[in-house]
Amino acid sequence: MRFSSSLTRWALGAAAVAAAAVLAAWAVTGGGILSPGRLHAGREGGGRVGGVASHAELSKQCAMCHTPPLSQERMADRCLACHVEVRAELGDTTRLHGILPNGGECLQCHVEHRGPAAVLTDFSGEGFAHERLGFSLAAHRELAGGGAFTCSSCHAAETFRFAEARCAQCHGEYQAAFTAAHVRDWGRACMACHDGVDRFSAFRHDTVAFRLTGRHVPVPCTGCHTPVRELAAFSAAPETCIGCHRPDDAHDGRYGTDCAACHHTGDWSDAELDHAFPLDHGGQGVIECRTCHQEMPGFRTYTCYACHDAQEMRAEHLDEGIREIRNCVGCHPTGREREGPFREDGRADQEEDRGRGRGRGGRGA
Amino acid sequence: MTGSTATARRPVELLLALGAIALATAAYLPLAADGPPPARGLVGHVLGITGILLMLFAETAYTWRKKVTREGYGPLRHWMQAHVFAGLVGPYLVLLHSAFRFRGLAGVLALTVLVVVASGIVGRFAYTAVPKVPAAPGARRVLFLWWLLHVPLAAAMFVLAAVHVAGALYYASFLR
Repeated sequence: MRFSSSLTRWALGAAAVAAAAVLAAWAVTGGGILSPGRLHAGREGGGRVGGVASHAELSKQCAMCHTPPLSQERMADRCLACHVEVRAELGDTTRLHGILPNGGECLQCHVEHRGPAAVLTDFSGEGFAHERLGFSLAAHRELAGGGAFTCSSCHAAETFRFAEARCAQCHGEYQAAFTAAHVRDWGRACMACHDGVDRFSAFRHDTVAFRLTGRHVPVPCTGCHTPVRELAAFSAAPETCIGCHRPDDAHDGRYGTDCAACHHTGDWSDAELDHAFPLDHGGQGVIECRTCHQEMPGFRTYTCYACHDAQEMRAEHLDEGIREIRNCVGCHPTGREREGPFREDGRADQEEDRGRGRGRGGRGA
Repeated sequence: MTGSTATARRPVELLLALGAIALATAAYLPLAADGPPPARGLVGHVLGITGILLMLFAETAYTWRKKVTREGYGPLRHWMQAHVFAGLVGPYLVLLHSAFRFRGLAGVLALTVLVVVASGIVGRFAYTAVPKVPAAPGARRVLFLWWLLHVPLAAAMFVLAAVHVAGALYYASFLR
């Protein structure tokens, strides 16, 4: 019995020593004896958040992050009190934490006490609507070298940050020449055009207003769309011939800017002018465009009165009861002499005789 | 009387404890395929809670029975067997609960458990094996040291365990 009670004293003494040791250790380590591991030491250039550069600076201040179990305040509230940039994302459905179904439940993905350089995020990405961030993973299921994509295939493991240089890095590994040329032609801001769904290599140009025909078909995209650094800039390509071909204009601007009036996309030299009025004015040889189209290079109007004196023409036509003489080709579509319609009152023959005589005297038009 | 002596000589409780440890290991290994389940998870909590309950049982039940001298609670030997069983299986489950991370208070606690269990094994199987004959008083005196270690260290261990559990509840289990 005496032995038993002395043992009890021993035990109580040991318990008291243990309790005192725990209290002392608690005081020295600032609660660190209960820490399951060291806190993150921060990232280089990570800046200061909430007044500190890393969680490690809070190692002896457990209550900075830990809330009492029965408190109304949750740990996530403490996180967001410092990480205001994440709090700002919560209400924005185009940003990461705003898209996540439980974006404000920090502890579901973020873990601490795993060491000064440990990864702070355990996030599988499963079920995450990545396309809502502006980039679908539809075409990024399998790596070029085999194997499935993981978050870290594109994102920095620790931070999930994404640098667009990563695109060219991976694509360059299995299509080096194409990637180099593509970066040279279109720049490095891949996501300015690509959303993970579009594959412009199979782009059908006939889905837009400007159809590609003739010699436009084999022209590389950059032939017209340059320089393009974002998707919207594709629609800035010229839609007129002269927009691109002004340097090619063999006429030096003399024939205006409506190239398609004569030319088609098959071949420049295969030009054909659909000129309702005979260019040779009915067999009278080569006539300069300017002879009739004096307001060149518009070609939209013409005049006959540069050659056929207006006073004379008016008088002649009035003789025949014709008052309206502004639309000459309406009655003289071929430019040949004596083609005007004959009157039904028997004066046609007379007109024919007179017309023949004056026609010879005219300068032709 | 003869049969009872024979039973006492056979370390049934040790075999049962080893069997229970083998069963626990068999159940644990598939769960630890991707590394030891963390102490804060469901598996870790089940292991830790079961382990500490077994250890508490080992401590309190045997101590209580020793103080009860009345008939009707079975022979003290059976309680000792239960003490050994729970005192081996409980700490093993607690070891699994630790996920083999020994840091801070939890590390000190693990070390204490180890010493308590080791001293218990010495006491139960080495101490009693030394014959109680006047010829070997020195050996018994040396082995008596286990007695000074086992019980007081167990008391200290439960203090550490209590702080550990309270800290874990406050800082981890009820994290919100």
